[in-house]
Amino acid sequence: MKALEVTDVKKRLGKREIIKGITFSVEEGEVFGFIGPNGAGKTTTIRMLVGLISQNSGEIKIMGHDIHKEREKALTYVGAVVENPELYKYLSGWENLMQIARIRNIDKEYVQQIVDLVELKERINDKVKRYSLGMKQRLGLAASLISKPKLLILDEPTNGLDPTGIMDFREIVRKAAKGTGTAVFISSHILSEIEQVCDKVAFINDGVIQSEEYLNGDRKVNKEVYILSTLDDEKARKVLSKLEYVQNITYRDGKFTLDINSENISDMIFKLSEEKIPIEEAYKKQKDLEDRYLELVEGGKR
Amino acid sequence: MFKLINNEMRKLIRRTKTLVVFVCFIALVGLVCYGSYKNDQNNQKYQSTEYQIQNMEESVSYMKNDLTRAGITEEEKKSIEQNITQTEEQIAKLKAEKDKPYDYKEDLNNQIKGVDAAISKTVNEDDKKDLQLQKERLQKQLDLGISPKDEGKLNGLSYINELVMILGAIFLAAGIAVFSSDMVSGEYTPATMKFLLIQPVSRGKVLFAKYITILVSVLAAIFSVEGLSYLLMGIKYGFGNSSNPVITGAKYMFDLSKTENGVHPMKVVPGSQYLSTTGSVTLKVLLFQILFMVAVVSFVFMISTVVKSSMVAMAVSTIVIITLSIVQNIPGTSKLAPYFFTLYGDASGLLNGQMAQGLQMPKLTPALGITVLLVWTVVSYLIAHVVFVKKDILI
Repeated sequence: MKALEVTDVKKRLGKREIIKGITFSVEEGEVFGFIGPNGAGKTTTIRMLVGLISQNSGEIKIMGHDIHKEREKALTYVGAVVENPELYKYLSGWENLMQIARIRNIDKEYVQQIVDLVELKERINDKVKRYSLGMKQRLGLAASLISKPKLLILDEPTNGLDPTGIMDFREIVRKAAKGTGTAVFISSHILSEIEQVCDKVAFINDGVIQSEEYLNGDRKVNKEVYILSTLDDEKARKVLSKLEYVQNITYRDGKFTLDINSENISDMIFKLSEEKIPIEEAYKKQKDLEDRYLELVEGGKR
Repeated sequence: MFKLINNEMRKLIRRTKTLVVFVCFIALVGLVCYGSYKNDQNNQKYQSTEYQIQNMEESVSYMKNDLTRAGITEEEKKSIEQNITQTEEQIAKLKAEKDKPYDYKEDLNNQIKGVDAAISKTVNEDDKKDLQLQKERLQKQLDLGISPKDEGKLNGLSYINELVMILGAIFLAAGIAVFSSDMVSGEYTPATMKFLLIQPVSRGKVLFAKYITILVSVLAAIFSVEGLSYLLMGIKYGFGNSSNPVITGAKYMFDLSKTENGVHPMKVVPGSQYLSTTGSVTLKVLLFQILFMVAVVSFVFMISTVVKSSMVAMAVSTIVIITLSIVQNIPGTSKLAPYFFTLYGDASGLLNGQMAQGLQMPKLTPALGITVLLVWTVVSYLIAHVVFVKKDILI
């Protein structure tokens, strides 16, 4: 079932058209990345998804319920953090969560579980004004998870999280998506974070979805960009040029950059070892999305 | 609904501002208590026989000095001497009274006799009715055993009436403006409103829960302080006799038969006054105060909903309230005053007719006051509701 279905949505603010007709959908259990530069319309889209603002035309359905015609019903399925998680600073983290729990009839035990999940247990009774940005993000995530959502909407969720926090966050998102079948909608401009956790990404710029593509799976047969550095570059060049599946070899700053299918990587390493070439470093360049991003979003501008 | 109100109450109570405004209000009421006490002390002093005697003796000695002034004419001397004898007679009378114990029955009987005499002299039927009412009041006091001397004294009831009047002038409205102005707008910066509005409850319910919360809190805060101060003053100075009869309900009209300074003077509508008790009058004043507070809360709440920042909401509502309070007293614009909610802070003035008399507006009746306050309440809430439900939350 489609957890979220957006059909030809447009939004004008004043005279400017911010969203110029976007269409996409997110299946249950799917993690959907929403990527675009600042001002592309990411947050405006999210505001429409949760009914904070109303679209001028088009349709938004959550678990089959129209966000305007059946607002309350649609929102029961949603847990969301819109922009920065702005919570009540003069209340404790716990009371902030209880505010939602009361509205949604969630019991205290479950709230406690969520608090444990986002690892805020020790500071949950402190006032939110004493929280760091990362802790606020965790509390925001907790607030969105408390509703046992079928659709989890997260706007720039990794802002202010430290590396451990980001890893924890990914784990939580994965668990939610695969474990409970929650559809997750994540917006971000930090591409590497999105890439690792998403099944599908959409690139938005200037209020239009430029492209929508699946990650994982078919990515493995695609060409990878590989970086290689050895202690015997001359010999290595000879070996590499003989291998048919290695293409576009360039050499710069003592490092080879080459295109190779991921299935052939181990064979290439093996061949190099046979020739007793000492390999110093060999790694995949994380560039797919970065390049796609520049291509699609910044495109002709550069 | 109850859950939402519960949530709002928790938020309201934990705001620092709530405590600050509440403490300020307690301080203000404390000041009024002190003022009443001082005022009462002074009154008792001025009305005491000793003080009067002392004052008169002072003037006698001054006048005696005056007699020895150089170049005084015979005529002046005569008049001063006459004055001195008169004053001395009064002093003697007061001194005699002073030793005699005060008998309220005698005093009341004397007053009734006086009114009787006036009735027999009056030809005008309307005036006769008024005098009759006065007589009735005195008679009732006599029956109930209420001493006229105690009437002017400070007690719980007189204090609470004074408090309501002082608060109603401006403090109540301004205080409510400061207290309630961030009920909705406070959630725009920081933008916690987002957090609230993505929950599965309708915006109308969210707004209504906020409205009920602020209304109940304002009423509870003000009445608890008023009630507590009433108790304290009552314990210290006595609660006052709530069945003490008073004349109230005066309605006014222009007396077309006369012209003073180019306008017709006001006169009491014959038969509009009636006999009530201090208890009943106080109760009405307090009920009217509730209505007034509801109207002010609604107005401030509307501003708070329409405006996006709590600072602006506070500034706008305070400025509007102060402006209305001033405009209603400017002669040129006071014609509009009956339609301002700010005018009705002084419930006692409206109920006993003094307000109509003071503003030269016969139409200023309690019925008009109630209507105006209700209209402000309903219109304000409707505007708030419509704006809030339709609004794009772009924060």
